[in-house]
Amino acid sequence: MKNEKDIFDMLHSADDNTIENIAEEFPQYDKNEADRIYREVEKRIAMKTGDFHEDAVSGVEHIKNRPVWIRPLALAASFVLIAGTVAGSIALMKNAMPDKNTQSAAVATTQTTMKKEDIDQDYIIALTQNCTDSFDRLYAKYTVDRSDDLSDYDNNHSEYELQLDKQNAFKWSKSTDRTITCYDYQYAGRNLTVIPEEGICNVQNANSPLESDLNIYLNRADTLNSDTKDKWSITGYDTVCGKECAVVEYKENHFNAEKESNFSAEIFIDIKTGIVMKEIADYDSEGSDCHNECIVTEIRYDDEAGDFVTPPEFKKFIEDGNYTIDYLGNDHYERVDKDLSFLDMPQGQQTSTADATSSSAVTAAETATETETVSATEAETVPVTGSETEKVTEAETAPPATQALAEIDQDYILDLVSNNKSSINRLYAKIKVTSENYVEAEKKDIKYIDDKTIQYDKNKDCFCEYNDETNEHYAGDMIIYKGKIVAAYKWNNNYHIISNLAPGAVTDNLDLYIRGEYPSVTLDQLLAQKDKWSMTGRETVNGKDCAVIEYNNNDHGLLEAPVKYILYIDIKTGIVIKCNRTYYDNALRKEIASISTFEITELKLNDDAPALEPSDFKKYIVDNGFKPENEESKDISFLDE
Amino acid sequence: MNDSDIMRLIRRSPSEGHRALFDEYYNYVYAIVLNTLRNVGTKEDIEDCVIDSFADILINVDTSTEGSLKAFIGTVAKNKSISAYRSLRRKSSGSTSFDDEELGNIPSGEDVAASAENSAAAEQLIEHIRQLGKPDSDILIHKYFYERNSREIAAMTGLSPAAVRIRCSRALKRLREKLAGDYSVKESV
Repeated sequence: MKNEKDIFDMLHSADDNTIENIAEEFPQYDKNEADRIYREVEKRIAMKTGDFHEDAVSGVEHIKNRPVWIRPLALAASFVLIAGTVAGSIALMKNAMPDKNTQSAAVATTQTTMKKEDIDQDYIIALTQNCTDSFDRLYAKYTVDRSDDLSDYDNNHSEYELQLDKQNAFKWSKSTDRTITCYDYQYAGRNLTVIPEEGICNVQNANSPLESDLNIYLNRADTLNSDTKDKWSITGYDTVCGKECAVVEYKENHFNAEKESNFSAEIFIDIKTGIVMKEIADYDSEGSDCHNECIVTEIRYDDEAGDFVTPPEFKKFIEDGNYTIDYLGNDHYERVDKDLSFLDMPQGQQTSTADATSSSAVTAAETATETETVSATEAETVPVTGSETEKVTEAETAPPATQALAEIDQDYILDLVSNNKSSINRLYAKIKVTSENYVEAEKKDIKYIDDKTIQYDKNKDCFCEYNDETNEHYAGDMIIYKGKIVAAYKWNNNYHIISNLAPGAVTDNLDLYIRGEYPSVTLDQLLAQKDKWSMTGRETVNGKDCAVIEYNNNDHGLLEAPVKYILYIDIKTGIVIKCNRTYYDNALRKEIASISTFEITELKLNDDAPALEPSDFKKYIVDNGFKPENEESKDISFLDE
Repeated sequence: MNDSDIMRLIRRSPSEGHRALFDEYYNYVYAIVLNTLRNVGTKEDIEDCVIDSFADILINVDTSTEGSLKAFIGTVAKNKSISAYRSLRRKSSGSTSFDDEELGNIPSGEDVAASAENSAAAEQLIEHIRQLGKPDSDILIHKYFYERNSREIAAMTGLSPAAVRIRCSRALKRLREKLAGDYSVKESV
């Protein structure tokens, strides 16, 4: 070793393990630098996918998985990210806004006799905060012209057409830019995106409100609110597309603390409805410029809105186009049933059909009672005429119990797993998960053991999970009830509440365990990749007669590591009782890198399962002396309801 | 926070989970990217690649499975930094081929035996640095691996920049003494 350069060179020729050791042992974590880079990561995600967490820019907890979206909306979303940085998220603003009842009065007044001289900032705020309340049906056409140094789609022109029917709880939209046309339909907890150029119809749970399209361009409740009054003013009046508008100028400098940055917008607000009829916005930040112009070219409300595309008509559109029904995005997004029969339902009579697989209830669906939640899919595969108890009995004594192995084919297995929730009213299960990583050849390192007890109650729409705190990787306990998660952690004796859950959180969590998705291949992968798995036998696991299937995938996304799953599926209930997963070394593609196991060691269903009482979780918190992490988490009285 | 905790957090609250994943693996990703790009890229290039790596990681992380998070993250970071290496080399010299098999060995580009020898030597070197104790070991790693300047290291270690320089100098001297025995046969110290 002659000099410093030798040290420099030697360190730089370190292999992966050494680098890993250095990173672990000598972290160079600097909070400010990490914060700055993370903000850039969020922007990059927004640019790449059109997906962003509103809470990331607002600080408001908001669980959602927005889709890897169509290109026009990707552009829109990245703009909204910028706009959102200025004024915070819609959710935050709505929390901060004044009492809605008093504002409604202001809106009602406007729609009749509002004079220009009476229009002030408070009036505009009330108007914009309530603009989606000013109509039941909306038809709008608008164009968006955008240039953005940060985007691959510079100088893009997009055209949008929107039909929003709040009465019947559906939305249809068409968006066209220079490269692609997309049709989007939201109804009964599902979102469908048809891309004719690609011949596909993507289906997923609708995780955003029906008005989300409107909120991107035609609603500025997020920007014009009481918290931003010093940043904007009413500068005049104009008419856009036949609507009388107040012209608002918004300016904010240095909104990005990291660099010189300015945001300005001229917004034309319809003084009757609060809808944005035109907006010209500019954002510049150290040489990165973004210019955005949105103009409404046609807009009609309620009875004048005209005929809309009904759910059955959209289904016919999909069938006539012979589009392939597929899932949106990648494994990052939840998978849903591809069955489009929910579109057959007459308007105004939707039930929570989506609950068949995901419980994605929205609007009208939320009003349906639990007894109405048997979907078309369930009805076909588990025909029942009596009570839920009878349903279980029938399911458990039905032919599958004596099905010969030769008669159990892939479709049979898929139906079985797809509908395994249909016979469950109540569930109690003990689960063991282990994961062994092979750090070096033949050196086994058990990294992870997880023992948990889960409970589910369909009627209460409740899911509860207790984990064994003696495990090294104890991950806390939690209950999902009334749209909230209460999570408690014994390592610090704290608990907190997460609100604003996306629909379907209860059944999503249940699916993790009864479909073996927690450690394993998802049902949708089984559906989409039939060539990668097959039935290999039949075996009794923990007293359950199980079909054994083996799934092999040599192309596991970016990881590209071969993986093999062996699933043991109870042929009475369709519940995945056990799963073994083996990852192989990425480089060599033959050595085992890790083995994970998942097993339901005890399972009780329906009348056999102990009752799930949310109040018990509250008692658990009180008895263990858990403390709320913040003020918002103090009140857990809803667990008594 | 371990991988399983992160996965669970992502499932419950994607934004919190993503941030937790970032905090947990920021050093790891930064180290991989830095080691690949240090000879061809600026600090901004390295940061950009770290950002791009995390964007892909957070978009593609599979929350339905447990384990192997580090392998996944390491693979993405490595692939991203190799791509960035290609891009930066093309910009600077225009000579790097897309089919260059040696890219898998970036940055050393040496043969397998030499690489193995270097790796062993690097591990031995780190062991010696480790034996120097903190904060000297931190100072040397941050200076020679992370390429931080004295002011940056001072901010991290709570020392003054002058103290960092002095300690670094002394630590380097002690390190040379430790290494002298190891390399006395191969090299003249």
